[in-house]
Amino acid sequence: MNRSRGKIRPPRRGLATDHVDFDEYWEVLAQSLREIYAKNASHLSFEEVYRNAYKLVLKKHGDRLYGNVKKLVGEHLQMVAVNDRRTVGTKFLERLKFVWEDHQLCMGMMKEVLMYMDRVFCADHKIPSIYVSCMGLFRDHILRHPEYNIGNALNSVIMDQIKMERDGDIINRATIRACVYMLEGLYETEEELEDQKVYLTSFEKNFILASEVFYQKEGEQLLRDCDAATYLRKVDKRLKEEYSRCHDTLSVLTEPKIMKVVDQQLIDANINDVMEMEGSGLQFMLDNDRYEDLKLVYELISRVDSEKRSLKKKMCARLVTMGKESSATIVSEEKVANNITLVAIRWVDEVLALKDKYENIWERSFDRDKGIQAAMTRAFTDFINDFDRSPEFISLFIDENLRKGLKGKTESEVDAVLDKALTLFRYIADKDVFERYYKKHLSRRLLMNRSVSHDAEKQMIGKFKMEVGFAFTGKFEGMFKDMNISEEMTSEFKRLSQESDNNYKKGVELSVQILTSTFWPVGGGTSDHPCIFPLEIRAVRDSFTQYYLDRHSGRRLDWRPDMGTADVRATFKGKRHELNVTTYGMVILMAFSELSSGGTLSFEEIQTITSIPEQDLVRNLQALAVAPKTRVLIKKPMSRDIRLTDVFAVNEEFSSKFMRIRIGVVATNRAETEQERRDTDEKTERYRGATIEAALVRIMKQRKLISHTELVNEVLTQMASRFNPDLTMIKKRIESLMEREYMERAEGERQVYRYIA
Amino acid sequence: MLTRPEDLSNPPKTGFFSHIFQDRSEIRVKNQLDESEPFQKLCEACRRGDLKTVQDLIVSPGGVNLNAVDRFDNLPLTLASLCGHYEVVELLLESGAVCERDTFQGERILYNALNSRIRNLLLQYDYSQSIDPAQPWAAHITTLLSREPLDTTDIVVTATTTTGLETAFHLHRFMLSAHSPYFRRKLSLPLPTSTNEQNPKKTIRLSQNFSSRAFEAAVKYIYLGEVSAAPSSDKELMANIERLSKHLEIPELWRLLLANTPKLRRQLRSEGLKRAQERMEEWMRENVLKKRVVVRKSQVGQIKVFPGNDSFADVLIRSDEPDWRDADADREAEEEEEEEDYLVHIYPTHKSLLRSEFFTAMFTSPFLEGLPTAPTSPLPIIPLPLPASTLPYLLLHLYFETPTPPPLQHSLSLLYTSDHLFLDRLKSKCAQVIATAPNDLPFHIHDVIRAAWATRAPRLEAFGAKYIAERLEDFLPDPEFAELVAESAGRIKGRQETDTIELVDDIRYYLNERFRMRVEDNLGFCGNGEEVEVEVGEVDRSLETEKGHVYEELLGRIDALLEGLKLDA
Repeated sequence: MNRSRGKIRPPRRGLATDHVDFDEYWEVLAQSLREIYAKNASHLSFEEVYRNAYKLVLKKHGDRLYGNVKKLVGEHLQMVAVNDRRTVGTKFLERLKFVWEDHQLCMGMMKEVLMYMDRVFCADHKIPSIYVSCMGLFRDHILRHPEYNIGNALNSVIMDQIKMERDGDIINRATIRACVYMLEGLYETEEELEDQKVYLTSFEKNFILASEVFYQKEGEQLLRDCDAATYLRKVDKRLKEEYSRCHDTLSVLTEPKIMKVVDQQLIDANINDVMEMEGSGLQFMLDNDRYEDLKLVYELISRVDSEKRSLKKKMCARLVTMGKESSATIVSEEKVANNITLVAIRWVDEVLALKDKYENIWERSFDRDKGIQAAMTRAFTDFINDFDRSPEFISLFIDENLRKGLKGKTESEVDAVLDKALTLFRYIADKDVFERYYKKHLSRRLLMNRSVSHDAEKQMIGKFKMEVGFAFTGKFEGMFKDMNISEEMTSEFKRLSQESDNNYKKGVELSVQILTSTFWPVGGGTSDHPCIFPLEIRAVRDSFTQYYLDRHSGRRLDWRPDMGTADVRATFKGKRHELNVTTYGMVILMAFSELSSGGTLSFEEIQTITSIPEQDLVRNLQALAVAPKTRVLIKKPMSRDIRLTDVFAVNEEFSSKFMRIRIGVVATNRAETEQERRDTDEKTERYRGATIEAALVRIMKQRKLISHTELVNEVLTQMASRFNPDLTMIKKRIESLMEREYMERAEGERQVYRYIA
Repeated sequence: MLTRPEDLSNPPKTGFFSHIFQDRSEIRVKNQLDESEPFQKLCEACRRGDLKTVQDLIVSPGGVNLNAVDRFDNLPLTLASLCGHYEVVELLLESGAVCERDTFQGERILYNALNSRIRNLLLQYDYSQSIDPAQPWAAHITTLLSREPLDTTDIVVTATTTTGLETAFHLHRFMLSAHSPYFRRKLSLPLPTSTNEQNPKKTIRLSQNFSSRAFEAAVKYIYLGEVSAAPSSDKELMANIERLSKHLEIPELWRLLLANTPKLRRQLRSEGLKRAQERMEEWMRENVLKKRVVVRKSQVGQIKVFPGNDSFADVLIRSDEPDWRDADADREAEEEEEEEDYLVHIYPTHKSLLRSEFFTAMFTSPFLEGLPTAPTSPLPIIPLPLPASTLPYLLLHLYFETPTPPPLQHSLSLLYTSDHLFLDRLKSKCAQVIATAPNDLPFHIHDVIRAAWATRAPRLEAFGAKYIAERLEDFLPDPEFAELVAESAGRIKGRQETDTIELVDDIRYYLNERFRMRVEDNLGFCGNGEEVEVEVGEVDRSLETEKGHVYEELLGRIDALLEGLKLDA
């Protein structure tokens, strides 16, 4: 026994076994804590107070110590509550702020001297630290005091103050801020969960409710009293105010919630009414380019609807109305004005102006919003396609520019004009109709050599190609190719003729334009355009025909006297003139040159000699005998109209100061007549039918077996860049193909087709 | 020369010192994401093995962080070693890229290395430094410069910048004195007292031969910050630092700057840390421990030490418990101890080195100790509840994190103190000393167990149980032991009938261990699981051996003891 007992020393003095009398130590400690409340800490020794608490915890009195401290703090707070119950208004806020800050300060000090208790006792027993639990006491004894209910009073004072501020008064933000800090620093439970802040649970909810009521009323009132722009500005101001309120007065936690209230009450609920306000709403803003206001509309709507549906809808509606209005005016003007080209250009300019205007708005006010851009495009597409003349008009616009408008412009200017045309082209759904018009206009430019610049032409075609692909521009390019080949052929033919015939120079000089009939919008063959050429001409013609067919066997060459021109030399009063006339004109004049001086020919005689179709003859004679400056023939009786009974003779008295005189035929209006249009439509229909059939067969060949819907969809996608096919048309084509046994219905399955090889 | 007094009286708190604190942890904590253009170039060059570009980027004026990662989490070193560019890898390692084993990135680099030649190279540079026990101390010293949360600086050294302005360095006299022989001599002379009322700190001016940037490097070195020569630093500055390091008599600074490989730098730095500890120890033994004052407790109030003392102390610490006595020596002496007026030791100390939350809270609090000390009033004396002879061991720990463990006889006292002051490292050191003590403890095992409970030291608890188990026969009749068992039972709040008593359980466990040894062999195969082991290793009670008999008897006596205490376990 003594063996080990001897080694065991008496216990260490002081701590381990000393008896610690709780009450004795606590009394000292409590006195110190009271001194802290009395602001006498500077007389207290930290070490002493700390050691007292330390000993109590070490001696397992932690729970009693913890409880006693809480009790002491609780009693102190109750006393404070009693003292403070009578203050009101801002005084109340200031007093509360003071009490809170004092509590925090004192608790901070207590926390430090009780550090050992927090670290050891609280941690071991998993109870909240003394600081946390005393914050809870503040909540229960001050804010939720059963008699004075300071918390509710605080809420209503703060809300009154905010109401005052909203109504334009100046309030003391700092004091409110301090009280909000307090509410934010307190939690419902001692776990101190972030979403359980007293601020959130007791204040914010009420605040949001009150704000909802406030803004609902304000919204109604503003709607009654203000115009749209004022309304928007007021809302914007409110949003900014609430933002700064959350940052300076209340808590940032509230920001999203209060913003939502404003968004809902002031924007979501009323924005449609605001946009529709008579004389100041969206329509007014759009029409008068109110960029600032529109920007506000956009910004505010973005807050409540990321898609901005109502804005898009209303804006597009206005755009379509504007577009349709201008189309309608143009159509009514067209009836009076005789120059359709001018009307077409007016229309295009108006549409472009509209586009510029809206693009400007989009850029300056709508933050280049992609969705709005798409909606605008849709709106343009809608009204442009709604107007059935648009393909023609756009083509005319390009025609006009390529013929005249671009003269003397720099490359970038040309490019800008072409781009404008292209933007409009993009909107056209029926690209095939446009193609038809463009082909027609282009052919006229090429054949009559009216184009300002071939570069510009090519540039335009290049742009089309980029936009819709090769299939669309193939024919245009073919036309250019024809023109080049023709030039080469003309010069080669000339060379050959010179070689074989030394007298060539005295003969007729031929310049040909050989057009591939599928590329060019020229119908009919020789039979449609009968003409008996004079002998000299006939010889050259036959010689060229020979030459051409030798080089290209198996082709057919038709001559089109209705389209060519000729230079004819004539002598009037001893003065030589060179007359540039149409081919028909030349034939007519040649008929006169065979007559003796003073001889006459009647209309019918001319017709017999030349066999030119009556209509063409009338037009040519009009140019030769009626137009005052180019009157090389005279007509009896003198009148503006050509009648079948008229008699013509060479106008010996003709004189002109020019050596070279161009005698143009009174052009048929470049825009279409009703009749022509109907023809064009019909052609378009036919062409479309063929295109659809081709597409159908292509698809069937590839897929062999395909369902109806799939087939239709496939056709729609393939046709999309050219035109919008009509569903019934597709159906009809399918029927027709089945009749002609290109395809059949698969047995047993109604909606499936099979390709018949 | 321009002087800007406002600069001196109100110097920036974070200013140019701030980056010192980042330096230290930067490499080890986490590799930062770097998306700058030079870094991307570096990564690309590492992929391609473009040695020249890598070289150029490393020496480029702005420098480039070699230990950052790209957005795929690749270090330049990872890329270079993955792509097999030996020379690039070597250059990167030479230039300070780190490949540490036992870290995710380090292992990844090694695993990815294209061939074993590169892998061996990487391993050569492996920088897996075990955590230096002096690190926390060094980190503390470095943070002193931030003067947060407590400004303990007591001297201002002004130096001239190259542009002729004055920069003020707020420093600690004891640090300068401890680390620079030059300053030690200089500071031992009386300094002219500052005339500035608001700023009572003494100010000295550094010779204009030395630039403020050179002095900054010296300050960083003394305060154990990271000092390295940026490749861009100009010759003039380097020459200046060289002269300064001679002037201040800290040649190690210059040697460290000359070190041109990371490996050498690391080595010098860790040696430097050791030397700093030694210098601090030497200084504090001379100026703190030797300067102690011994008085009777009743006379403490008469001891007055003023600011301006030779030790540069700004607070006094005194023992506040009667000294520990060898009980065997004299029973009467023990009686004498009962007397209130025992001897206490007072040491002049430095707030900045009392590295404990307890002291930080105390000195920053609005309590008495937290009040600023007027230059004319005596320094406050802080009593600490530990015996006079134990106090120096606390100070040794606080001042330089002494690697020497405290003597066994002081360990128990220090254990309480370290718990009281939240000094966890010291606490575990003490527990370690006691738990590995040879057989004869200088204190009663009951006190060890109680201390273990009080200070929450489970290791010591187990030690105590084992200690008792091994000598159970001696303890069973002791009424104090029964008391201890009862106390252990009381430690579980709201104890149920069926709850165990921790101490008894532990004792039973170690008792089993004590008697188990022999039996184990017979049982052959043992599983890995601990539970299985206990089961298998159970003492075979059926064996009518002497051991088994004694074991049975002891268990029976424990049960009897428990019954006597009306406990059931």
